[in-house]
Amino acid sequence: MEEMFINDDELKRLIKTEGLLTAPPESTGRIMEMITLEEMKPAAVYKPLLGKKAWVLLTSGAVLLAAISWIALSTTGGTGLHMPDFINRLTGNLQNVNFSINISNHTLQLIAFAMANIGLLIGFDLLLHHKHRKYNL
Amino acid sequence: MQPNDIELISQVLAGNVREFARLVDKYKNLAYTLAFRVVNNREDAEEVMQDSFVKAYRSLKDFRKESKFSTWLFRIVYNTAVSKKRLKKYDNQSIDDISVSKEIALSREPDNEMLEDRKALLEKAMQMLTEDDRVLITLYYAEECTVEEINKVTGLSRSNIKVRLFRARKKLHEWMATASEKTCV
Repeated sequence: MEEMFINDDELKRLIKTEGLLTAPPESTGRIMEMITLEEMKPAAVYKPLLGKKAWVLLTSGAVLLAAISWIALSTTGGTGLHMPDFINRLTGNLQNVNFSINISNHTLQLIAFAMANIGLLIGFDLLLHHKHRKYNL
Repeated sequence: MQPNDIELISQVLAGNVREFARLVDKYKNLAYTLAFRVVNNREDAEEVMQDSFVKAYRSLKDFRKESKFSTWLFRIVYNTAVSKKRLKKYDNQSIDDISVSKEIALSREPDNEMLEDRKALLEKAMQMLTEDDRVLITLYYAEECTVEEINKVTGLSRSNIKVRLFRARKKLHEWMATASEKTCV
């Protein structure tokens, strides 16, 4: 191998000195221009699906519905749980409240479940909004 | 004292974007040569070089400083050039292709005819090699990359690099020796 490459150093010198092509002189300026333009481009902002107000409204609705369905179940003994006295007193009072719409407890539960899921998704959406406030595409 | 690559990168990341121009100036010829060795076309090589530097700038915060900046940059250049070549589906050019002599003519600095002859000879010899071999030879000789570094740039296995380098060097030596003899006669 050594015999074959007696002139290896010469080849190396030749490639180092003459094998290198010269980039156009204005290329540095052009690259820096491209980078500057890149810097000036407005960063993409993650836009949440819903605004903060809508998020609060939906979550409140979900919580309210969940509370109503739970109370409705607990007053009819559906949950089978032993509640503290103050809750029993509260649900006792609520028993006298007549809802104008006749909705079954299970329907209420389902609605509450759906609302809670929506709340979760919107919460995740909000989390993404905070986490990726700015990022470059 | 000139700041080293890592210092320059730190400055760029700290917001001193202008410092990136020093990195561009330092590596643009090598990046350009490497891109040219793959795409075999001056305009595309320039485009590849520019795109690669912009890509490098964008990803600078991801550079983990485990390897040399040049190795990292050349990997970007190599990948960009290969993608470009795949997109354009270049035709294989023979060494007698007129464009080769055109490219050489464009890069000439007409001050030393003999030097230019050697340059042209070397360029022709390089055209004898395959695209990968040209890249390996450029990285090995011009940038003095180790086999390990070439592996990081090209993704070729170490043993493959060694074998290819051996063959490419042999081919270059033989071709240049023959060409020199012909020139002397």
